[in-house]
Amino acid sequence: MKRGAPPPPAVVDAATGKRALSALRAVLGAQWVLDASSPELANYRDAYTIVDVHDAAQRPLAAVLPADVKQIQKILEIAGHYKLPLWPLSTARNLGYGGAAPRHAGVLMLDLKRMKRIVEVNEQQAYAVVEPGVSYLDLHDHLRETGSRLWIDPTASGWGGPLGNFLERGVGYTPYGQHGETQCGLEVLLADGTLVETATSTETKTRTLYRYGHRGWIDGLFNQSNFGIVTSIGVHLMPAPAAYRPYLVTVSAEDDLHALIEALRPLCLEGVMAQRATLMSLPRAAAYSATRAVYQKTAGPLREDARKQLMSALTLGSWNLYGALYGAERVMDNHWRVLEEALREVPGVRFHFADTRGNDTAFSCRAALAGGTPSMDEYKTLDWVGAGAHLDFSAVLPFDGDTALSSFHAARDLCHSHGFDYCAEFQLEPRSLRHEVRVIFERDVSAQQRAARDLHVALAARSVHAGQGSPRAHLAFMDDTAESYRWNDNALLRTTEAIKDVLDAQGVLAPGKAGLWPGRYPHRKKP
Amino acid sequence: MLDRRTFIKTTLLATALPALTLARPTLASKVGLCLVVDGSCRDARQFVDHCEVTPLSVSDAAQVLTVLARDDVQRGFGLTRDSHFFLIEQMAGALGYRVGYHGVHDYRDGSLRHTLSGAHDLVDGLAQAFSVAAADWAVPLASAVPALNRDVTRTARIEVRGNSPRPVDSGGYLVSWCLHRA
Repeated sequence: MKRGAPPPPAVVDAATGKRALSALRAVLGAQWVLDASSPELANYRDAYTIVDVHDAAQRPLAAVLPADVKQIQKILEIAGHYKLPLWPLSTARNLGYGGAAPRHAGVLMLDLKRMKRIVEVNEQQAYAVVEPGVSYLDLHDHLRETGSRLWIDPTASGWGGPLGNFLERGVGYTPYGQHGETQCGLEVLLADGTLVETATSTETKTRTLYRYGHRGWIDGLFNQSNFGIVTSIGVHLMPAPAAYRPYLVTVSAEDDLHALIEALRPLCLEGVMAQRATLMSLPRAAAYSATRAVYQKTAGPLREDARKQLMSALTLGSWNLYGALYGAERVMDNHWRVLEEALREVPGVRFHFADTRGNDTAFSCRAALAGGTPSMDEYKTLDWVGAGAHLDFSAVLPFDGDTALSSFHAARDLCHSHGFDYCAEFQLEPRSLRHEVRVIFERDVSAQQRAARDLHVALAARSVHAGQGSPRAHLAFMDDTAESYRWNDNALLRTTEAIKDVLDAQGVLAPGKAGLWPGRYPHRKKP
Repeated sequence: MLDRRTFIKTTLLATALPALTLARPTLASKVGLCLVVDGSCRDARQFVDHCEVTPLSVSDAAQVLTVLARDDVQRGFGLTRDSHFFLIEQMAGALGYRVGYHGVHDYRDGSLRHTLSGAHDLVDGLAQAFSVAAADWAVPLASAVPALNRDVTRTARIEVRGNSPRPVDSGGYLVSWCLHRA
């Protein structure tokens, strides 16, 4: 909920809620309607909460678990009749952005995890069509079990799924890591129950091959929005390369980030680094295998002596670039020569390969992801503070050394002034950098939750001041992020609100998602 | 050897069917207990050595989930890193498990701090045993498993401190936990 905003209206009164749940049980069967008497309803929460009053403020009315599109259509009919807001979930595992919680209390969680069909894998054209409940682990194992030559592009934690990750503009770490470019064709249910296929629809049999079709390209409307419920998605898959070779490049001095970024830009622009490599700060990389208390007994950010111990013990640098080469051996050899020649100019640079990183959890995890294999080792980074949780903040920067260095300095200083280590990474795109700060805090310690929240606010304010857009937002900051895109008197927000009012006249789909509220909510800005 | 991702995959399979019963066990558990350990450090190895039941390795996680999902198993007990516990708690929650006991074993500033929460009599007894055992605290923890392994609601929180240096092979932070079916 937006800070300082009035509370949302009572969603439905108790009697109406009871009638709605009764109608839902008749459609789904009682076992697939979890009401307040069900212990499982407690699972629809933010496991890494940063909001003190979290449980009361975000407790849903109930959850429903439909099996197919027809059941969702019935649910939409009932929700529209009772004006009961729905909060759709696919695998709901992006815990750094709010997990399985809704924006506010009283909503009906529309949990799509039972819809886990891998609808199609096309080996020749290299794509898959999957439903919301399919995880990266599911899809990967299906491909391996069927002897496919195709790779998935997993995100950092494998229990998440392609549909949710793509729609939320998540990323991966193979050459297919920019998911906006590999999403192709959606099946979407609108609030009135209409089923829409985007791209070149299946009638032409090219829905998952060519994303633009005829007329306006509307797929993007359903990314990070509440205009419809996406019930399947086409994703392009990468044909397995002849081989791949993961590497790590370390740079010892923090401020040599400038030289490193300048050296990397042409490599990314020219496609020498085809893969979406990730540049991690020392604490971010060290957290895979270290607990900070081993290196520094006192609270507060790591001191220089502790940093040096960490770098020595784990053979890491102040900056750590995890990447991979792909293709035939001689292709990889040539790419590496170009890459090494460019990076050798960076002071304090060192190059590492798998043969010297035997027990390195960070390297093995990043190598797995770069090789299209999902992993859960990302969660080991939370042992950094003992019982950790994380809150993520992202901003998009131009790919240049000056901006990267100034953004690093600002974020590091803000992290330190709030008592946290600078756990962060730069994800490399051809023309931009995604600067993602991972605030690792002690779970269930209210002072830490508050400090993490305050740090997020400070990071966001700095990014807005620097003209850097945030590409995604935690549930608690969706309104603030939406309002940061305020050019020309919030023209963008007003445009999306107008679309919302047409596509969801009753205002039942995910109220407040991405800062987009139905007209009947008091959060809607008045013209 | 199954790894963490295999565990998660298997767990997801189970949690996709929250109202259904998984396959019945072919081998009944003697104690209705799933015992789990992350045996990569001295304390955990000591725990294993003194347990009456052979624990499952948390790295053999698919088996952990399979056992937790069995009809005749009503409890899970573990001594693991927190990140393991977090994932198990998240997934076991969908199988109806809730935390009945939780202990943090935290080496800090050259000392060892145990923070225990659970039924008052149980954590009180455990705290006294930890005070006596000092660096060998994992021994009374192993002995207490049968006592902790009962249906309790967390009612008390006790903190115990001692002078024990961190074992060199330890990250300095372990958690012990007991899950029981609600």
